[in-house]
Amino acid sequence: MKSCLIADDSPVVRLMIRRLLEAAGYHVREVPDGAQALAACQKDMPDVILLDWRMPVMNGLEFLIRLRRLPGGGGPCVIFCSVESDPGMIGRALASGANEYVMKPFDREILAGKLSLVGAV
Amino acid sequence: MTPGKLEIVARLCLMRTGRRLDTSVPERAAARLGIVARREGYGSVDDLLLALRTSEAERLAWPVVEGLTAFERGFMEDPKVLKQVARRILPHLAGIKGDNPVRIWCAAAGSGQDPYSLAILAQEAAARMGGGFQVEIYASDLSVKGIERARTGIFSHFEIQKGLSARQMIDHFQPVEGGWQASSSLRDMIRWRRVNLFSDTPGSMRFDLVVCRGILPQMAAHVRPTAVVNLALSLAEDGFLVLGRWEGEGEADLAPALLPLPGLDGIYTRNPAFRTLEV
Repeated sequence: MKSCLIADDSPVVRLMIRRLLEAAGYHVREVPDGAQALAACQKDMPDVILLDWRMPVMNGLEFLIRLRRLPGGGGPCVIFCSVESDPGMIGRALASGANEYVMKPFDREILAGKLSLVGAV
Repeated sequence: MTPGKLEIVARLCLMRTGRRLDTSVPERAAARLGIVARREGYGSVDDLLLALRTSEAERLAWPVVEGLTAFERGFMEDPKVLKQVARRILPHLAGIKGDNPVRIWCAAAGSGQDPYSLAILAQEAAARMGGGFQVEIYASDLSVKGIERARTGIFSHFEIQKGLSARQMIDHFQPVEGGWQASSSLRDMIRWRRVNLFSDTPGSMRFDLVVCRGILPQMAAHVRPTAVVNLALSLAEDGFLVLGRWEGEGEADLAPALLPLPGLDGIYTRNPAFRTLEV
């Protein structure tokens, strides 16, 4: 079974993403910030990471940069899910190693489409 | 919405566009007619349908038909077919056209996602090939309002995220009030016009590539052969027709005019025998 880590400080967003991914057959873990996401990855590297940008303790971009430096950290497919919609910031996320980017708010169709684009479903 | 009222508008759509209205969900037709009724200044769908039986009928017929048959696609729908266009068809056409532009007709542009997707694919193909080939896209649709909207190149926050990669979004669109707008270089590639595939005969222009996806399956069986012939007549001698994946499978209607291209899904060329008949 493929695994996914959702890093988002909003329980509502985590629940929406969890439902979609569980329906697609993923084993899902959730964390509310980047530091806990990093710890979760060090323990068990997921196949896919859905990542918020603005989170307490460690933001999504800092997490992503640290993740990609970890042994095996190049493996997970990372999709940013953020309210940031500035093209410069989206470009920065992609240049830092994100595979895709979803702007909030989004619906199930958008998220499913992005997962399909990166070959995660 | 009663079956009788649904039958009236379904017949209107069939007569004007050759398309069969999906009557399986009456609520959907009622919701669409509600939008038309408000726009045309009527208090309810019933008032609108009553007016369709008066001297207002001719003025209202097209707004009703356009409202009922409007359709929306995502960007880059049917990626396998589009990948063939980008990797096989466009480079081939660029090679044989030389300095002349590759002419593409997107025959059912809907809300615009298909022609803009083709423009993006053409720009990406040109970049891969080191530039140097020109593409002109002619986008048509039945709906004047749809064309007016698509011409702006503005897509909502939700629309822009359906089908495009984030990289394609930021490379080809900019945020504007109300959504994201296609770059001027994309918009400049596309020319818009209203075409009714059911009743308009092909013009004098011939196209190297015709893309018509999602419409033929909606057409009534007795009008589909005419639409197919019109599409075939619009093709240049060595042109290609792209249908939606599986849209041509088992279609006897296609046989006289078109031949499937071996090894490629949803892509057809003109039947040489048909060419002889045309002469």
